[in-house]
Amino acid sequence: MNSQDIWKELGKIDGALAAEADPDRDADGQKSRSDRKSPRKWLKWAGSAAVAVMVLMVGLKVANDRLPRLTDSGEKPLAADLPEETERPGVSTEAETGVTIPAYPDPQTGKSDLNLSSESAYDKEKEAQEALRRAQEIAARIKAENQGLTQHSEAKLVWFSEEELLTRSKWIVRGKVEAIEQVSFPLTASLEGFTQDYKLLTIRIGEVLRGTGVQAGETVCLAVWNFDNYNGMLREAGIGLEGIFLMDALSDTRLNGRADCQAGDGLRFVIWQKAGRLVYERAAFTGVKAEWSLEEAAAYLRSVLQPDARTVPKDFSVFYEIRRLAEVPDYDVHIMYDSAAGTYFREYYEFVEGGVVRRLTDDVVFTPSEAVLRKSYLSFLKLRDLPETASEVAGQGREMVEILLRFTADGKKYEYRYASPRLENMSYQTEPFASFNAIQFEIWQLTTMDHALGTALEHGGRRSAP
Amino acid sequence: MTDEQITDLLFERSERGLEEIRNKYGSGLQALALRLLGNPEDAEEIVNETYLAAWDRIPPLRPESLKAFLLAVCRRRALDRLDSLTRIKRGGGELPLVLEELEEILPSGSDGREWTGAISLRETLEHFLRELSARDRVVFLRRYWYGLSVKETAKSCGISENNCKILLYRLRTRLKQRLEQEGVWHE
Repeated sequence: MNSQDIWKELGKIDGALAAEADPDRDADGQKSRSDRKSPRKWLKWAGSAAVAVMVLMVGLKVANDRLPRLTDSGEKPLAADLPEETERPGVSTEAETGVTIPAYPDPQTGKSDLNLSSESAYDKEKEAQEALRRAQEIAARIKAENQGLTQHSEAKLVWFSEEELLTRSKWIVRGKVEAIEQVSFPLTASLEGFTQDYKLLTIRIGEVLRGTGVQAGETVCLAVWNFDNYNGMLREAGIGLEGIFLMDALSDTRLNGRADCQAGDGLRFVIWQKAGRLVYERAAFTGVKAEWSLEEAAAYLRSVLQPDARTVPKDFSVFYEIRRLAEVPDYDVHIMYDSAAGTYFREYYEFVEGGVVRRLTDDVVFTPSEAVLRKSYLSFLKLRDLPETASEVAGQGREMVEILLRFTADGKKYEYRYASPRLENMSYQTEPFASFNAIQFEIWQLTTMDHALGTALEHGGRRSAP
Repeated sequence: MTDEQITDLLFERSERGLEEIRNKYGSGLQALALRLLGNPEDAEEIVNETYLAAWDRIPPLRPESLKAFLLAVCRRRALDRLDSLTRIKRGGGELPLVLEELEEILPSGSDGREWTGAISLRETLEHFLRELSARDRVVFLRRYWYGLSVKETAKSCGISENNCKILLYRLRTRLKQRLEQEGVWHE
């Protein structure tokens, strides 16, 4: 038996099983509009031509079929629903294609070249010193950037709170769309046919909420990256629509001369006013209400942008321990972060080069930046003010997330414990955020910091020397 | 037009039945074939072969699910085509990658041997699939029945690509264990 036999046998399974997994249905088995692009037009033309040929061939066959049949030769009946077996000799993939099937590392032991376990990584004093130097470089760089997040994570605005989204924007204006254009750039020479697309929105400014160098009455051209996963609000754009726009300086030099500014992504760059309601990414603008007018939303954003009286207490610290329990214990994830000690620990699994490898990021001396502390402090305030009865989220089965949060602020200590199913999928779905309760959202805010920290550490963070 | 009506047309040896198949399932078959083989010309030929197979087999065959029948034929033809493609070094579709992954499911000692178990391999696979959660089953089949790329599978199921890879790896490992438990291998 070989893999092709498995492929063939899978083709014979109950059609209902295959139908349940039809990609034209959503993951719950409900019919939904497919997100995949329809076959290119030329395929449809080819299909028409193919059918024409088919009809001709079938016509010939029909004519042949109408001839008197010869006596059956005693073939056995065809099995229902199954295509006829085609005689094929066994094929060795390696022999035929030259493809080397990789030897997968044993996930049970977790031993591989990629294992960052402290037992193997820090045997040598020189390595430990180098590890400390890299950790200190990362901490210094992040502090200097005053963002608390790496460049990698900045590419996705999902990691920013509402306040951060607003304060990091160079300009925020209220205005009306006067024109929409599309521009495409080839990605790279090696990816022929693939493009990076932008929509260029010409906006007539009605009011400037933040930033200098622009005035009411002027027009600006805002470029928004049109990328499938992050263009939900961009799709709402229309000439004549009013909205509040968050704009950054141009970072893509190909847009020089064509646009004045650029948006972070196609989801969190705008609050639209449509049909008497506000349309926006709710997970991004958590304080905005859909029934507000655009003027009310602008007033709210101005209040958020004003110098803030909320100051992080000097003694504020956050400790969290997250356990993501997977269906199979070997794939659990364990994370601990302690801002007071500046240590970070993460154990998880990652699919690499055809196998699953256990990764272990040791305790890292990590100076928390002001932005990270501020973000966690805001989440703490929201969690603290919630009723106690709302602090428990029921979980089911083994695929759960258990979170322990400890805060210290103004001499007091607070502790919260949560258990929730499927929390790890939260960051990959935007629409369900609208239905999440306040606790889950704040937990998500905290755990996205973990993602940012993890990203930073993957680029060189190590444990300090003993 | 319903599948039953299309099948009736084929039983009447009406060429319109083929046109209706093309109208209703043509784009899906083209998408499947193109995804598996990565080459538009080969995909077009596979789809034509699928139409021919439908004409040849119906009647006397009356499939319970016309769509499943057509997709199954298309999958099978794609595998047959892959053999010649690899010799010509053409392609780029998902099928070679899928087959590589399915290699992991093969129990130790099964190479060159035939499956013999208390129940057929097909039934063993069905039992395995039915024991999975709906989500896991959909992920598995979208990758290994429909030949979606890992990225497409992840996106269609609303999970991250990394999670999808890990899930598929786990499921392959479990299936391998099941086959090792259920199968008896003969030369």
